Amino acid sequence: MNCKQTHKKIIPYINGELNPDTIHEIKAHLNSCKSCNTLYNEVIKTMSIPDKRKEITPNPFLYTRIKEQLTTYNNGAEKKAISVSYKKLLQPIIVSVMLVFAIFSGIGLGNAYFSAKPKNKIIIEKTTAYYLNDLKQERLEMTILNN
Amino acid sequence: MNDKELIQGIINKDEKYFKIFVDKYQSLVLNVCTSFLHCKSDAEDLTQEIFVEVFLSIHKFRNEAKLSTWLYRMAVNRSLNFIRNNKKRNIIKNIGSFFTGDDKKEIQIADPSYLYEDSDDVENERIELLHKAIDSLPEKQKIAFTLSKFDKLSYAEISEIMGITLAAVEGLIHRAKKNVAKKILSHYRKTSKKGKRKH
Repeated sequence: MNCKQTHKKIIPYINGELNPDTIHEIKAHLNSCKSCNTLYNEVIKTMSIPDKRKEITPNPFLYTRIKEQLTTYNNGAEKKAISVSYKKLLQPIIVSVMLVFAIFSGIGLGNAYFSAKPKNKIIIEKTTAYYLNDLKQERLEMTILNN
Repeated sequence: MNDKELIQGIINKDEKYFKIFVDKYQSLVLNVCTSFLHCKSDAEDLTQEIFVEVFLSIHKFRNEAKLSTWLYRMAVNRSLNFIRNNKKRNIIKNIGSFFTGDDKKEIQIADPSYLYEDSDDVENERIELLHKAIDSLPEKQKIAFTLSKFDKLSYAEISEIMGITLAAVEGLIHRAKKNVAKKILSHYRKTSKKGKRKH
């Protein structure tokens, strides 16, 4: 058995899921190959870390801290209730009012723009008519003849 | 004093009963939170919040399960929520730092040495690797594996806490073990390859 084959079978080997022949082959390889043996030992050591877990002793002031938090909670309960009602009721109302306002103001602005358009047309027509009226201006032919 | 008397006392808002309750169960809640969060200070904060929640919502306890089972469930759920919220906060922080161009990342690495016996630098690396492998597990596998390996609960107790059958617990723990071992093995294979390349 080579290193690659051993790596593939290390996990079933650890879990004891292999047949006796394969176990024997892996054991032989691990005894002869230093790098595979190190790899196997590292996996075993890392997997056995939970067994070294210490029991954590609680903070002696835990109850005092809980009591303090409960007192602040009771004091702030009314404020919280108001803020919750604000969040649950007032916020959607304000958002929907703003949305309706935005839609109607958009419609209003659109209407104002289109109703203002024909007026602009007349002004443009007038101004172009004024500038194109060249009757009062000197004719080009006459200027050339005079010169 | 039995659990029923304790619960009744807390429902009646009697502080004496609540103190006895905290003294009795604080170690259980703290150790479960530490197993999931891998950080003592975060676990202590969460334990405090859990007891406040218990005081406020003890009337919801229906005596169908044991009080300890109810507490285990609460501690597991709150710990998982804490991890999820932390992940979200980190994502938002990263997005913020990406737009502001602020590369100073506040990485809080908890020192795992006080959680384990005889830990040195090499052992701390192993601990971190194991924690990462466990954190990458699917949620149910993570719960079953953590409660079994770190909190030393029996399969029967885990099945009661998770509300699943014994066979399901066995399956979850078996798969979790395999997945954790795979992650650890692939990490060491990568590092040994890098080491060979350097030489």
